[in-house]
Amino acid sequence: MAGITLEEVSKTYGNGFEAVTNLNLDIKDGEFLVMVGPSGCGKSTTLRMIAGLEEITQGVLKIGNRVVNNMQPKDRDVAMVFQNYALYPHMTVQSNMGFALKLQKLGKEEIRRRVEEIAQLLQLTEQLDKKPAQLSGGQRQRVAMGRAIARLPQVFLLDEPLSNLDTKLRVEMRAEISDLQRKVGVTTLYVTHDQAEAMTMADRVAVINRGVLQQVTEPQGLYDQPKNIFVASFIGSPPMNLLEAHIDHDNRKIRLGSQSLDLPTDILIQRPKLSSYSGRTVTVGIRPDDLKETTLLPKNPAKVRIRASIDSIDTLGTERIVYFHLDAKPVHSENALGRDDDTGLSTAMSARLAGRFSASSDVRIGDTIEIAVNTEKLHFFDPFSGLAIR
Amino acid sequence: MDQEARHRATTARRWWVLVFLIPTLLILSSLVLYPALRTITDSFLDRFGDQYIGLENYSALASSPRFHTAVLNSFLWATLFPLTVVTIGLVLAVLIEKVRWETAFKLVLFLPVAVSAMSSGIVWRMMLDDSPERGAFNAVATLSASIVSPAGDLAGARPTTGTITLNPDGSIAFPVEVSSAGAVANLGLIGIAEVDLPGNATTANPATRQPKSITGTIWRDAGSSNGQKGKIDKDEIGLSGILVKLISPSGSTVAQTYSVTGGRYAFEGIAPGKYSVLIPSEVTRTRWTGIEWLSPSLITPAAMLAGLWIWAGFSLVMIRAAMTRLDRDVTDAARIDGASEAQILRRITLPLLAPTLSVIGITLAIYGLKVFDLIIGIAPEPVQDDANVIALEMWRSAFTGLGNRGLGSAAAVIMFVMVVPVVALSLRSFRGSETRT
Amino acid sequence: MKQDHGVEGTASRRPRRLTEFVLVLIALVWMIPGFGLLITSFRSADEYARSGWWTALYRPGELTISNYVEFLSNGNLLGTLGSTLLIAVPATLIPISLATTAGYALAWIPFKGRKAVYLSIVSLLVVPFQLALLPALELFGTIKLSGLPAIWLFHTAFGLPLGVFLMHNFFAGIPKSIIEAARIDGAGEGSIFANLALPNALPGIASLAIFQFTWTWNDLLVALVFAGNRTPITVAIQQRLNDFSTGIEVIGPGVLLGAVAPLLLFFAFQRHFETAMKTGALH
Repeated sequence: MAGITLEEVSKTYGNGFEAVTNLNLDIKDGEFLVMVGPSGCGKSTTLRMIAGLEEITQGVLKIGNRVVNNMQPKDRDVAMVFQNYALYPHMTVQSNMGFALKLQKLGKEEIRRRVEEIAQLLQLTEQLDKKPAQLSGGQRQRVAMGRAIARLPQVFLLDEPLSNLDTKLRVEMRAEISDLQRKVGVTTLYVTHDQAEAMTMADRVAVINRGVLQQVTEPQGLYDQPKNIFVASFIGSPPMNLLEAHIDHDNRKIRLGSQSLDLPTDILIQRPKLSSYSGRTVTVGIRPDDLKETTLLPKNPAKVRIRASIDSIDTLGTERIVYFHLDAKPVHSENALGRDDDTGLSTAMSARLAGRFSASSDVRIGDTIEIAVNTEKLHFFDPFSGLAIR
Repeated sequence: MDQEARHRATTARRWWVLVFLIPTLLILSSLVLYPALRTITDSFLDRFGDQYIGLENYSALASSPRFHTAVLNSFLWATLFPLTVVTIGLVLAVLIEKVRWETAFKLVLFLPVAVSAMSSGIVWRMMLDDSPERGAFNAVATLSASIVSPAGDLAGARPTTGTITLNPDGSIAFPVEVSSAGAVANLGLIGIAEVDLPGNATTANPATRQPKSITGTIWRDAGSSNGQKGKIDKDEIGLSGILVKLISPSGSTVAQTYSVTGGRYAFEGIAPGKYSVLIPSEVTRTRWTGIEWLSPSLITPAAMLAGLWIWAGFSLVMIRAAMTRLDRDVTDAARIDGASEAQILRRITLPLLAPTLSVIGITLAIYGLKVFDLIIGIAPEPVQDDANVIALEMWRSAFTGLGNRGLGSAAAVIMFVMVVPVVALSLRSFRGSETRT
Repeated sequence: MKQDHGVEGTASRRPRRLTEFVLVLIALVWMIPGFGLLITSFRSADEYARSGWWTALYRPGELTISNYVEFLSNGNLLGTLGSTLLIAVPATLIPISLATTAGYALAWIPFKGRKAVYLSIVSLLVVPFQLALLPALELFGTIKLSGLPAIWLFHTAFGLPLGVFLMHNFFAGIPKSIIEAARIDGAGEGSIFANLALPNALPGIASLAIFQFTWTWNDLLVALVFAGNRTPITVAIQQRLNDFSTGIEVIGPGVLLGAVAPLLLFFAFQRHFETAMKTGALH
């Protein structure tokens, strides 16, 4: 078994489109790394470069200690699960799982033993003689997994393997796959656009956008300490509220439109760099979790509250997501990164915020209420670079 | 070492490309490309392919009426024929959607594709035989025609002397002037089939003049070898049971009667004046003998009919397959939007089928330009010139008789030139179908 | 099966009856020629000259198997069927194997100029084979090739453009990820071709086999030019066409027996052919 190392890897297509730019990533031996990002961000390209299905334009790719840049897929000792599973339609489940072994010229008995073992692990024993067309979506997914595992490869590559399943099955399979990975302990790169998959399954998550790696860390770190506005807004649902705010000259208060909040006294100890933003405009991020209904928090000091009237409410049973407007300038993650000049958004002077309220809350649309802000957990970003201020 | 690995991979790949492609490219270039180009240059050479004679072969073709027919027919085969086959396939595809035995129907229509074009021609030559006794098509046609307007008792009869006139409608009139002494009007006829003679026919019985009457005999004026025209000879046969009308000068029917044994008839109590004795057209009306499919003017449509028989099933099956591949959601959406079935067909289904229809049309147009065996099969020798197509003309010039290589090549080149517009069209659709896959 | 919506139920029933009637009529018209030929092949030449085949329906006594007896006992005639088989089978197998490999290479092995090669092969589809007859004959003459091998090669050459086009389409229709999965599984080009591409292209191969076999089996012109003394059934029939009514004794059984092989092949491959139609790869 082996880790995967990408050093300054880039991929430029013939038409000049740069899909991946100077990617540095180190996937440790046995690690389950999930690469997440919006569609077209370059995550699948990265995976396919590791598989050997795309040529690497620049940089070095190592599996274990071997540089594999120019190696054929078959020589890289990787296994891959495709989004549409790519099962061989004319072969039975058994032959699908045994195909690579047969190509490795393993003995019939050995192949049979291994396939049966894995079929048992994946509860596919009953399906071994069926063809892919006779299987349900979940079973096909399992066969695809089984086919990858059967080879005992150095590396597992999974390309959105759950996106063709229904929600319920997807949640089940999440657990099953991470279980399986732990059991076999093979280094795994898992590509998805679904942050829930990333957060629940990964040892570490790599967020990628427009071909550029944004942040790699364990799931909780990603949520608590996003490195920039993109990661902040991409991870978490509903997404982090991002708006323009003004910090007063002595870092005591922060102004959001016509309202202002007291900042915690130790804010500069926690985020020393914030001092250089005194008296300036920053982008502030507030997670919906950090906006609560004041009536349920009687001890909450008045100076960390904002007043707003409720626009709409999503009642989800376990919680209520409450939406309201503030007269502050909203920030779009793409604008802040300076890549996109979508001026339509930046001129608006009203930001829509989401708060995660308890299910027992009885606010109604149209109510004007006080909302408590957990100022300890505010996120600050440089308005130009979009990087977190810490 | 890295470079080496990549090199090895591309070399292996190159090797496979060579193994997989070289035989095909070799055969195509030596047996399709080279001969095709060679034929083009040969078309400027003489009959032995030795000497350059410029455009002589082309001018020879241009001045040959037989070749004109061939070009015209080939043009029809490349346009009218595919259009008809696609249209019929489309109509059938729409109709068949509503019935449950679709598969069986498609099978019945598709099977002729398996039969060779020449055999199909032969089969249709039998079916379209001019004689209603042998050609099934004309048998049915004449049978139904004879129900609508049956043949007369004396089908095809015509007079033997100039005094009796044969009207354009087939009726036979004898002008008579009647005095008080009466008049005799004998109607001698020929052109009567043996089978139309009355069963109990007797020798003709000359009529005698009677006062205030018109009398006469209707007889077959050709029974005797040494008989005289217009004269009732000894062993000539009288025609009984024939309807005869007496027409006044104003054209109205004064009286009518039937001839009796010996062919005699009589109109009695007639006022003196001018009359004419008339055997009406329904008596002489001949049986309709059907359509002469294998005649010079109809042989090409007949051949196309045979072509339709072969290809309609193909067209139907392809169109149906394309129809079932269409996304049903789209038609459902249109239905919900309030479109009628006819509107759905015209506005949704047809535009979506257009690529399929054009591909079938192009396939058939190319087939039509190459048609050869079918003509050999369906066209009897005498009308082969009228059914001529370029492929047949090319074969005749180059391979029959003494064989004229230059002329045959020129015919083949013209055939190719006619394919060119189709080439343009097909390349466009091929590119279309390539982006689809 | 489609169900009527309640509203249009009674209203649409009458047009449907009419439609069914018209379609039955059309189906009958389509069957009559074949049926007529079948009856004719059981009648003597005299009877053929005297009356239409349908008269045999009410005088079945005049039907005779003598045409068939004569056809099947005549070594020459029987030999023409054998010649046809000897022409058609290799003239089908050779182009299929070449078109399959070439189609695969053009669909899945990347190399420079692939698209150009593919387009040039496909554009040869429109070269009428008549254009090549004379020079090909001469070419075969100079390399002393005649008879069967000449016909095989010629049929192969003119079957290839369509074959490559069809097989390329079929292979291109295989999802890319399946090929990639096999590459990752360790399969080389040869193995991918044999283990994956071929089994999944069976409907295409079957359709191509139907087309090519029917074409070569039924061909007349190529045989007339190249066959020499290897007379296939089509040529044998053609030689008797000038005296149609006496030739009918040979033509009747010949045409019918000649149609048997393509029909058998069609029915054998019908399932694959239908699959191919459904995928839309035939055009």
